[in-house]
Amino acid sequence: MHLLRATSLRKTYGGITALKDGNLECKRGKVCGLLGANGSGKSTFSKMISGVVTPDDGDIWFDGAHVRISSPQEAKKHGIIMVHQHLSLIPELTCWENMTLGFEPVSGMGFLNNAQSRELARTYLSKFAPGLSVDRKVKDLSLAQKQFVEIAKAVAQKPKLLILDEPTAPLEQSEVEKLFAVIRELKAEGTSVIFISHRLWEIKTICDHVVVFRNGETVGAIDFATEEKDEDAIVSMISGKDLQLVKHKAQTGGAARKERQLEVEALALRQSRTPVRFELGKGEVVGLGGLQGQGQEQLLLALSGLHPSGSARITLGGKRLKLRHPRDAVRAGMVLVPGDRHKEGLFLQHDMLLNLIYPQLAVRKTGFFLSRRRLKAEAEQIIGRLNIVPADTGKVVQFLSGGNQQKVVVGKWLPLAPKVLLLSDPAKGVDVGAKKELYDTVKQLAEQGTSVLLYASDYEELMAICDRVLILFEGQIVDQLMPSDYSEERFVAASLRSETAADRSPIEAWGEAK
Amino acid sequence: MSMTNAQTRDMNGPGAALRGIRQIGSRKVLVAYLLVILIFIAGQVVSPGFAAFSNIMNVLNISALLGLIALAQMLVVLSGGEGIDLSVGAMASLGAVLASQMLNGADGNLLPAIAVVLLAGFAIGAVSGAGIAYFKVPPLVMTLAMASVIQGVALVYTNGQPKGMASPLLKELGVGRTAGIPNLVLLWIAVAIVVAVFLTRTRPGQALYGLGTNRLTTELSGVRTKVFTTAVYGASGAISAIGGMMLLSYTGTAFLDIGSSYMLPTIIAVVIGGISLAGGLGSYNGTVAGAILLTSLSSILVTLRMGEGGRQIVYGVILLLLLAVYGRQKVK
Repeated sequence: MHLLRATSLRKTYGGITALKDGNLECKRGKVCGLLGANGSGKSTFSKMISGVVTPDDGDIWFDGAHVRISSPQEAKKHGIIMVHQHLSLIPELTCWENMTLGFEPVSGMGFLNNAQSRELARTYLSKFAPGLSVDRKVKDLSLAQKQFVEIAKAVAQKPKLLILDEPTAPLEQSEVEKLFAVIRELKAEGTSVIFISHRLWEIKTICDHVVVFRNGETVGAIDFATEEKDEDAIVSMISGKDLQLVKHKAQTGGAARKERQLEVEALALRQSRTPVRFELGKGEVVGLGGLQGQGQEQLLLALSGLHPSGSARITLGGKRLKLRHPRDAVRAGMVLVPGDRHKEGLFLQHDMLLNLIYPQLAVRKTGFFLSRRRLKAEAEQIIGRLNIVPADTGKVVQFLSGGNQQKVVVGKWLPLAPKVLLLSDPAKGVDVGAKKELYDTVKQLAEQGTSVLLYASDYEELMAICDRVLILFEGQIVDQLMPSDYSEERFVAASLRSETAADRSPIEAWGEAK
Repeated sequence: MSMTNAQTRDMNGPGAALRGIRQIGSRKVLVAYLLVILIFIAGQVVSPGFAAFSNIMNVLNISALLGLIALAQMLVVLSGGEGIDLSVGAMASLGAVLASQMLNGADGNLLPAIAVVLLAGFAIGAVSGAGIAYFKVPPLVMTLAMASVIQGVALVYTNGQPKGMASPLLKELGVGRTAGIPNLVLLWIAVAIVVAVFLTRTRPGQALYGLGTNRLTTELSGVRTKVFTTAVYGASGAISAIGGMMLLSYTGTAFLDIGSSYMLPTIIAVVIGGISLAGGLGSYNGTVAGAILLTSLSSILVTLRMGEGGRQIVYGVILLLLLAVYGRQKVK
């Protein structure tokens, strides 16, 4: 019998459809995997079930009754609790205070019963982290411990349906096992779980059936009780393409061997203990792919000198670089076109002239006194070269279109003749025409010997201009795709790190990269 | 996923006509000067002689004192990061008592006195700057605390009773005139020109606008923003301290809180002058206009023989009105 049945859920935000047609059936005492790429609608869907988002249309049946869930409190009353990806704990309170917040046990006189609260918290938290004291403040905990407190809090409320949104993201293997043990225990008690994850092996391990979302619609469901745990089938459903065709595509080619420009070794990214290592050839355009938030942006920020690069060994043009500050990177010729141009790339309230000449000021490439005429001529040259519209150095940058603003962010580096250009999703919010011009410029720079490291959230952009693409997953480079591999299915498969992608091991990819 | 969330800006929108906020700034300056003219006309009507050349020069002379200390405030506000320097008044007092004791009425120590005042001002200002840049203390708190420290230093240094006085040369600067124009005003004009050149035609001047507008962009461009911020507060300290020495040149002798009444007016002058409190926009012209407007205003209230209490109230109300009109920040 179904505990939850949701049909035809729909949600639009001011003309943008977040969810077109969400359907899901969740059995009592089973774990339902919810799958889909970023932006496929699975988050919106689960928020609807937990009352955070109210659907525009559609029906939800829960525990045999047709229900309308208009708030998280109401969802809680029904017995539906969601653990969100972004944790909602209060850092200054202790574990037990956080865990019982909102449903504190009350003694006879109406006072809070702290002893009982603490005991309750201890009981549930010990399932996940036996050694962890419930009296510790949440702010002192590791990310994984916080995640456990959050999940334990949800479990302590004895939900009928527990929704876990990417609960394993901050967890290590052994911790994931502990979580799974608790989930199995819950199952045995008759609790249903909706489990959201990008890791296919986790899905295969813990889920009894899966539902796949793509572009705001439910595109398929597989019941592992009756059907095979076929990873290829799942990946095809997520990407919408038939994987079999792709897998048999010949793997040939590879970028022409080029002179080495940048070598990065032992660079540790946030989530990962295994540091990344790669090389960039002179004039080579290398893409950073994978799901969003797998460390691509951190990698670029570390190379730009803004984030500490720890004990990484970075060699540029044969010289060792010590990156203590963006100045070190800029001086060496490694420059960043950041992801958020308004916050990180521009002086919005100032004219193009100041914006375009600023890096030269910053690294003291000009004299103390400035020749406005010379700098203006230089700025005009950049404007001409990148075809920035309007061609007026006095134009205040905030009144430019997004595409032209982005050209300013790229253009300001040109006078420094950068050796390495780091691009962080440069075409975000840029119209198609400007995007093409932007990438044409990037290609042109590459032809002149500038190496390019490009992160783009859109696979097509990567395929269009990269000589090869490194796929990141949880702070590690897990795969490398060459132009002959380029296809959306291959990207999806590699990004999800399914066996399909793994049959070409990362180690081999390294060998080829060298 | 898709690229539909383009943040394309309307290039022919209402903003284009303004050509940026700089013009709003220059409009503010114009209004400030118009108000000054109105004040002098009104003053002439109420009390003939108010708009006479010599009185105008008097007003300008006092404006110069405010204007010089307001320059210190302006640099800090311009540097952004909610920058404000509440220690300019105390620093000016310190500069005045330092100079007074060192000179002790003789010209011999004039150059060493200037050097010591500048260095002490810079060093103390840099401490504020370092606290703000490296230890993330809010500027408001840091400079307020430093103001208290500076007062303490002055107290210890003078044993509560500043000795000495301005030297003849310094006094000549403060009260003398050249071709009918007060020497301090001439100095002020020279400073204004230097500042204008510095802000628009030098590397650090232009870099300062970047720092004030967007720290992250500035940092990513390769500027060591923490060092820069520290230097800006240091410069503010040095300028306030030397401003205090100018106060001494005008009054002849120093007293312990000679500069304290200048703190608030410097902020107001900066705001009237069209410097965005968010940082990064504006020029010294505006601050000059603000200083002249404030001084004219207080001058006419004195001329009207308004009692101290009434004067304070009128001054305060007019300031509120000015700030209500001028101080509104454009919401981004």
